[in-house]
Amino acid sequence: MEITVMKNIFGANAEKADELRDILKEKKVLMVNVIGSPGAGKTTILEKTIESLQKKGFNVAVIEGDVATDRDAVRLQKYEIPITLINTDGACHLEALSIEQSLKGFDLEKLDFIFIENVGNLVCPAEFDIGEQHKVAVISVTEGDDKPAKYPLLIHEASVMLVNKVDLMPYTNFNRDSFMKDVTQLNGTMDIYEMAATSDPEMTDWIGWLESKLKSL
Amino acid sequence: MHEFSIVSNLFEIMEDVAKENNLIRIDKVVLTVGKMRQVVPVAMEMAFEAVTKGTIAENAELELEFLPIQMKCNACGHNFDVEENVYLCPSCDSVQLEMIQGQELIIKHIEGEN
Repeated sequence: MEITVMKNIFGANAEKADELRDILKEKKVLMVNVIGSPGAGKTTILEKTIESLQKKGFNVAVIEGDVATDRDAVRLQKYEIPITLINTDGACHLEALSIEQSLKGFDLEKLDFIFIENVGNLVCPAEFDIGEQHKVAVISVTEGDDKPAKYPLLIHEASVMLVNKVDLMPYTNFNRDSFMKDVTQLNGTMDIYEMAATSDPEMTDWIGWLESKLKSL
Repeated sequence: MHEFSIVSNLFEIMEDVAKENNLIRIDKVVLTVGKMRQVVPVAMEMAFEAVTKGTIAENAELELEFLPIQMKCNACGHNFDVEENVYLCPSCDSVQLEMIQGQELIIKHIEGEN
């Protein structure tokens, strides 16, 4: 016999993600899902972002997705903020159910921002809605200017892109025009901020973006 | 290897459908997959074989029906299929596009015996 099903395979995950988004909106917490390759600078950007937001009096928490270690979580302990660590035991991405568990450990009444550092990978994390309001794509110039074209789903899904390590551009064959052309072709409404998180921690535009998104919740 | 996650979720739904319809064996599963999902058929088959081994779906056939990425141009209203990652309206060159097809990941139907 043939049975018509017509069911979304990630339907359960999508429902859970919508549920989490509703809770966060009610509590006026902005949760962003930071996605990028290993070594793109996700943790360094988080460090500088947390410093800037703390200076402005905001309360921040972090969910660290890591395949096997607690190294990134340990790096962020100095900010004395709530951090939960999710070890995916080899899995390449986070899912909404594990984020729900992490959120239970936070006092949402006291928070303004939650940053999720997803597992370093440009494919799978882009597939999964984990209840965030925005996906943030982090791409560093040392990875090459062809990354947007190679990973179209992430570029399509992300609201904002942080182009990191622009201070190293003169030492690479990164072609900014071709990079920007690909990004615009994939997502004409993407906000793009260039930065050099290690050498120049000023991230005024990116911090402004976060504040404006928090306000519009 | 997002294919393994896809197949794990797929298998849970297959089990539910089998229970609801009193299936003793699943012979075939047909999925609709949007090209934006970047699903690799060989990886899907490997994962499917591993996950269904020793279950009522062992040796079942997995059929993937791919759907092209389709965009609607918000400037001129033209609908078109995306080829080779060019997200540009062929009729007016606009980048103000909206995806209307390509992210599907749907179990279409299941064939089995009861």
